[in-house]
Amino acid sequence: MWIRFLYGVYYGGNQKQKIKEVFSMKLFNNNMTMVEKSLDAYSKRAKALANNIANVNTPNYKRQDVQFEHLLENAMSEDTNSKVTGTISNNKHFKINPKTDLENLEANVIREMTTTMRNDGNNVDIEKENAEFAKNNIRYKFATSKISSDFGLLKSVIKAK
Amino acid sequence: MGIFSMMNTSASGLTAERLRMDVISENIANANTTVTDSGGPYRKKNVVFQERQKTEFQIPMNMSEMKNEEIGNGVRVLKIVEDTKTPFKKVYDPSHPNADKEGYVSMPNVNVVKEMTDMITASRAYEANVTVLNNAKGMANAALNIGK
Repeated sequence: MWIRFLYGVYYGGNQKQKIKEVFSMKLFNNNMTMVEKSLDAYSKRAKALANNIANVNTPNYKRQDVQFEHLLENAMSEDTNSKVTGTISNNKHFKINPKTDLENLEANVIREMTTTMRNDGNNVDIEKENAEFAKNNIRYKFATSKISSDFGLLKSVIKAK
Repeated sequence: MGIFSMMNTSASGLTAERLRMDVISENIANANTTVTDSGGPYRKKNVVFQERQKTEFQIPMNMSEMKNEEIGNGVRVLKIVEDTKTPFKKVYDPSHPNADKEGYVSMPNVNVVKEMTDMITASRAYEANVTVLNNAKGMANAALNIGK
């Protein structure tokens, strides 16, 4: 946290400690990582939706989508009480509600193979794709403005006299 | 995945739909053509679309990561084929120089109404791709403004 960073600067500790605080990435906390991961996922999804729209007239094309929100929720959730979580003591065990680290979180690209919209086997619904694209765009804009304001906070703290 | 890859995807859609439009206009323009280079009346042309995947060079490099599906790279026109299944229309006109012994002329197998509806589909798909392209530009601009 940047509060701790400031504390280090003003109230002391030795030089080594200060440098360690600055570079230990505590400056960019969990929140920033979360927004960063969201931005990655949203741009990935935008690409998938653009691909769907480009292939709206391709016979037998099946639409792609990106799963991200529930993975993020899983990675962010603090309480493990609400879910049964399995521990792995043997490498043949199945993973039960595996906990992903926020740092290693990556959006999942899927292809919907089970549905069909038209006679030619294509399952792209152009209205749905456009609506999803608009939603995704708003989410992306929100994430960029959120990360901007986070940087703004850091900046104002650094400049404070 | 670069910042412009989404724009390239939409651009491939624009190119494909435009080419489809070109072929449709050729079909409509030749709806009454009875003489072609290959002899016989004009045959309706069809465009075949295919999803554009990774290049052949990239495929072996990603074989190990089959678990997570790759996002495609848009659409490409695989080929333009002539419609050889639909028969030619026979029109009775004995005065026509291409008429056969019974006086029938083979007219092209172009259905103008179908070409019109195809044209509307192509132009709507083109517009959808333009919308995506504009949104992609907006996203790139928003990303450029981070930290300002």
